[in-house]
Amino acid sequence: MTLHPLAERALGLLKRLASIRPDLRLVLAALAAMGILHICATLAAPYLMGRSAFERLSPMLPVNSLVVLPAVTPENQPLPFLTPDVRYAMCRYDTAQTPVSVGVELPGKGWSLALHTPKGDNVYAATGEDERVTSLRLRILPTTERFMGLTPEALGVADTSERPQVVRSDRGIIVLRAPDRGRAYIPLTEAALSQFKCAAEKVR
Amino acid sequence: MQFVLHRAKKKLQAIVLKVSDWAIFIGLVLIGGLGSSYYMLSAGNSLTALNVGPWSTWKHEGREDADPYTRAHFARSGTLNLTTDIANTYLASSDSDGLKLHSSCEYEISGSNLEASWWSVTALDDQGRLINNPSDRYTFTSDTVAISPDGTFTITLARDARPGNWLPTGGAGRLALSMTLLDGAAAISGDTEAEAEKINLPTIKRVACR
Repeated sequence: MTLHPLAERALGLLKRLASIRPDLRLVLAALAAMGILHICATLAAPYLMGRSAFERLSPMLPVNSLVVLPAVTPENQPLPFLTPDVRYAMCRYDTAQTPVSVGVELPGKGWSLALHTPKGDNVYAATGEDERVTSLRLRILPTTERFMGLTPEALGVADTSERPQVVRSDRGIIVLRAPDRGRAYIPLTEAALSQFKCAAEKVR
Repeated sequence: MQFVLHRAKKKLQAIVLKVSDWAIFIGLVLIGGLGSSYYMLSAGNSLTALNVGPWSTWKHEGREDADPYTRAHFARSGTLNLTTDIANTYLASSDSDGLKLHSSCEYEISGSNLEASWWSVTALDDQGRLINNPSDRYTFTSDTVAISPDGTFTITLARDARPGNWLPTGGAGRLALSMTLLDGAAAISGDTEAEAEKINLPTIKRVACR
C-alpha cells in the first residue's frame, strides 16, 4: 500500500516525535524546575538583595525621635532615587516598649505623611490639601495585643482630647515630606517640619 | 586487553553523555528560572507595571498588598516609596521614541495640565543618584516650574545652560527621570493599558546630540 507523500511525511514526523518521548519528559521536568526556581528566587529576593531603605536610614535616625534631614544634594543623598523635590523629616519608631504618638500639621498641597514598615510597605499615608491645614494625630501600637499602660479613664482622669487615629505597626520609619517651593520658602518649610511631633508615650 | 579498553571507553562515553545531559538540564533550569525572575523584577509585566509612553510605574508600589515582584523590585532598589493610594512615581530611562536618555543629548520634556494636586520632575543618573552641577538644580515641581500662559510647560534637559526651565545633566552618562504625581486621580486609577492611554504625562523629545 502506498501512502500520500504528505501522509508519509506526517507519519515520519510522528515516529520521530515518538522516539523523543523521554526527552519531552525531560523538557517538562526542566520547565517545572524553572518554575520552582523562579518562584524561590522571586520570594527570596527581598532578603538577599542588599540593604533595605530601613537598614540604610536606621543608623542616622534615633528611635522615637524627630530628625529634620538637610536638603538632599548629590553629596548628601541617603537613598537612591531620594529626590530633592521635597524636604524630609523622619522618625524611626519602635513600639516594643510603649506606644508612639505622632502629631503633625500638613499645611497645604504637596505635603505628605507616610509610615513605612522595614519591608517598605506604607501602613498609613495622608496628603495635605490646597489652602487647608490638615491636622493629624496618630497613636502607633504594636501589632500584638498586650498591656500598654492604663487609659486616662482607668486612672480617673477625664480625657477630653480628640482621640487619635490608631495604627498598628511594630517598627518602621515615619516620613514627613514637605514640597520644595523655592529658596524663599526654605525657612518656612523648615519651621513647619520641626513642628512634627513623634515621641514614645509615657506609660502610667 | 583491547576488549577491556573498548568496554572502558564505552562506559566513559556513557558517563560523559549522562553528565553533559545533566549539565545542560541544570544550565537551562538556572538560566530560565533565574533569568525570568530577574526580568520580572526589573521590567515587570502588564500585571505589575504600567507603561505610559516613556514613563513606567509599578501598580502596587508601597502597598501592603503588593505582589512578590513589586516587593522584590523595590527591595532591590532600596528606595522609600509612597503608596499608590496617594501618589504615583514614574521613571523614564528613554525618550518618547524609545532611545536611551544620555547626557550627551539635549531633551525637551513638555506637558500640560497634569492631573495631580502636586507634581515634580527630577533628573538623575541611571543609578538614581543626583547629578552634581554648579547651579544646584536637580528638580522642578508644580510650584517652581515656569508655566506658559496657555498652561503648558517645557523643561530642558541639557549639559549647558538653557533659558527657562533648565535641568543640567553634566557628564552623567545614562540618565533617568523621576516624576511624582501626588493625588493624581487619573494616574492612580490607570490600572489597565486602556486606562493608561488616557493618562496625560509629559513627552520627552530628543532635540540634539553631540
